[in-house]
Amino acid sequence: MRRNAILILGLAFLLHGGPAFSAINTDIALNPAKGQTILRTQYSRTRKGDDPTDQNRSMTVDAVKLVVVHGITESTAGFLAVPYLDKDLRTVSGGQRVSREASGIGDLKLFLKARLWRKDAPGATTRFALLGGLKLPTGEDDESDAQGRLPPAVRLGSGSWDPLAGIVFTRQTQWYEISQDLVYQVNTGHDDLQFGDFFQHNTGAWVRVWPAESAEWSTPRALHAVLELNGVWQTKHRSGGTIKDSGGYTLFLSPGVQYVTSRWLLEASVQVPIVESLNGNELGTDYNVVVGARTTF
Amino acid sequence: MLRKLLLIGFLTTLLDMGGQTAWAEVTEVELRIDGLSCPFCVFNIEKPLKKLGAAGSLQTNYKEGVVRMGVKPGQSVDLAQFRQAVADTGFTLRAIRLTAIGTVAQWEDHPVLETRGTGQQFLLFKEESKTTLTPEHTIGDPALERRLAGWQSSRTLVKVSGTVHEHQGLPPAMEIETILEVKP
Repeated sequence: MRRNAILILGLAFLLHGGPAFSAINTDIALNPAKGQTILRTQYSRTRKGDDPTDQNRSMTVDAVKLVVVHGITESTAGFLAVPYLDKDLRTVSGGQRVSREASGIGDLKLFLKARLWRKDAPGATTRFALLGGLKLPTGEDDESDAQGRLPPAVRLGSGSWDPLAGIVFTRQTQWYEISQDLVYQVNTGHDDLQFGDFFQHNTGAWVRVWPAESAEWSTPRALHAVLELNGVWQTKHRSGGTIKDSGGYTLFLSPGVQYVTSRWLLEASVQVPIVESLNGNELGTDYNVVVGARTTF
Repeated sequence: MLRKLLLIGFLTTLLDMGGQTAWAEVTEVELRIDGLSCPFCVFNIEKPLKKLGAAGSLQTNYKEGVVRMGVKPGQSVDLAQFRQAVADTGFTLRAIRLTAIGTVAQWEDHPVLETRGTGQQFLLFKEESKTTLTPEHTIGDPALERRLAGWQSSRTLVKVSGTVHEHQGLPPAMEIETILEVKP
């Protein structure tokens, strides 16, 4: 896992270019120009725990995500998101500590974003766009270990072709940005399991904390303080009937920081759940840490 | 006649800012661009402009949203290429300002800058001429008109900077900001 993760990160950093803006914990606000390609890579670690059962379960997910965004026209962009996942669920079974693991490529996401409206002003831009796409079943969904088939939470993919659609709004000036996106993903199911539909809402904002004056005839650089609210709502999984220990809503407060030059963007964020309303005996999220970089060419 | 032509020109400028190609020998181009709101916007806008054949030095004033391009000696400048390059990046081109060297000539009784080498013509006027234009005073500045007439008769080389407006069926027009005699 570590070697593959380093490889993906390395590929991203080898390519030269400039970074792109948008919030840290969502990809869809990225806006490439026609013919421009934005490459974004992120490493994240998600820790889940607070098991309400006596199984003392905990789960760690390490992920490296590579996102490629290409400007097809001046107002249309294509997105490809490739996750590499390493999942580790630990539980107690028969008095023994048991680890159930899976690692590899997860489900790819492919979508198009079309900007419907744009208003530019000196040093500022406001944009609104629609997006639509598909989650592809590229992640392993029927892997087994000594305990049998892996539980849904540990599987790398859902096995299903799942359409998604959403809207994006961004308002950016040299001093601040606000962005809002809403995305709904319909999970169609595969074999005997249908994961619950997803609805995600991301509200992002940053303010420039440095420098106090914008660059004039020199290369601009900026440090942004970022604050996001990232909400994830999921319906219950279905397998014959609904699975009671699935679905629910989590709202994360996500402070972060971005350092931007005309060529690169480095960013980091911590997601902390401030609202968690999960169904049944699901594991709650303790935290999610994200570090990443963007470049363009 | 000229007044009507200029009036038509201004109207068509408002309706159609694209399309016409203005080939000229120009020493410097400044693009005033709306929407430059982040550091990497500078990279995004400079990348396609660097690919233009005429592009020499390139500098961006991020704070003011101005890209200044030096033009390679002997290279012509196609204004339509600038419009297309900016449009493709998803920003908005507010104005093009040129600095060009040439001699003063006449087009339909109106002073023009005829650029050195290429012979491209720019109708010369001042902003105030929109309201004070008369057949006798087409520039809107009698003192400047006299200077232009003198430079025209003496074939003096002048360097003019100003914002350019493109017209359908007319030479592009330049609002004179500065005009200086160039010493040979």
